[in-house]
Amino acid sequence: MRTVENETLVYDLSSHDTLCLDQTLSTVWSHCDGTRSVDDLGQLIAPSEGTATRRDLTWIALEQLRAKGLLLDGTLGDASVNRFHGLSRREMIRQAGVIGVLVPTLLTMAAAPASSAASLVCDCSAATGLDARPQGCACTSNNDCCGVCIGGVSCGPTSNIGTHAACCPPPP
Amino acid sequence: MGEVCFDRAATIRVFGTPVALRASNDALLQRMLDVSPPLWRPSTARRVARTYELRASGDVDEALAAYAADVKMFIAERSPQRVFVHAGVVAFDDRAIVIPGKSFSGKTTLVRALLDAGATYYSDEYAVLDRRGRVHPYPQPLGVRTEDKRRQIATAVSSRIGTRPIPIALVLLTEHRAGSKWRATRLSPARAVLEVSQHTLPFMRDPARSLDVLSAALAPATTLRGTRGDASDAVRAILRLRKAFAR
Repeated sequence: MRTVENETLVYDLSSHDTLCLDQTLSTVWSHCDGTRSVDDLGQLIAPSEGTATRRDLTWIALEQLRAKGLLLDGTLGDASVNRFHGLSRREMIRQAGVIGVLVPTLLTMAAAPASSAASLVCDCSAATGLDARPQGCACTSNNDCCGVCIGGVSCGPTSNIGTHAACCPPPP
Repeated sequence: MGEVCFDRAATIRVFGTPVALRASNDALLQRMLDVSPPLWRPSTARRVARTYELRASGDVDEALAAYAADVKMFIAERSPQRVFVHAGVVAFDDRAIVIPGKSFSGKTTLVRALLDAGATYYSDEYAVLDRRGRVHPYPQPLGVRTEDKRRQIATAVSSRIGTRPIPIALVLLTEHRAGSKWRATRLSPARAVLEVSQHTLPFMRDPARSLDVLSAALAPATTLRGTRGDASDAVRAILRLRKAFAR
């Protein structure tokens, strides 16, 4: 976890996602110490808003934190207590009807898969051509590979970084 | 069948990582050194992180290309001294402009255009960051892509090549779209770290150090995300921004 100018970056070691909490979410998260109520948190993040809007904004923040595993299990209760339970941010905003108010934002960036720790993975959305097969895949020409087709047999390494959902498996 | 004798050897240190090279003759060893990452130095280290062995049979050019690509990425992922970001880097007034992007994203084209506009060359492959967030030179010759996607080394960049580490003033997360105009919005430093982490080679292996270095590098910088059209249009926009970070 790192704080960068009032925002917070969190790297999840299990999912390899990187999360970015904006200033509001960072404030809520840092004050979730088990002693503060939803109203207490609302006063911190939106003191000039009405009670209902403050509560909605706070619950939107809390639900985003819960969904990403940043709160202890069971903290928020189920849907009978937390009316935003399980909703996307867009759905929460729609349900809350908060207009003209800055809604807390949690951004997620998925890291490249663990198998690509060697950074030898490329975007395999195309069967051939640029960003095709990663290192180790069978090939007949350079057009089959992200890098070079070595010996007309096997794709060599590449400096591309990306996902490889459609990549062929490496040779045994 | 006799054994292959690798009786020509050298150990080099690249950004803090010792690598051993072994070849079947002097000429091949020299060729390996010629294509090794920039700024390598001879080393007497006995323990190395990796050993590469090449012998003079078959397609030597292919083997050298494979060695060059592999050692470059190995160092970029494992350097204990630096955090490598896949990016082009130029400088104006001792302040760096970093252009993250993978291969074929157009960053080399933009680097070339900025050099033509008077920038100093730092790299068209990696932004090499230290723990203070400064970017170091990685002065490999500018590459061009041939039709079969091989990277050919262009003639060396003339005159202005960076030699010392400098802070980052501007980060451009702009995607090239043919026919589009320059359009960019500013990101907060934390958002900038989030985006640039996708281009950071050691990030999954060492997220803590990567986050530290990226935060140090990007907190004082201006990061823009958006689209750009042709390189000349982007250069004009960048030069207008230059006033924001001139001394």
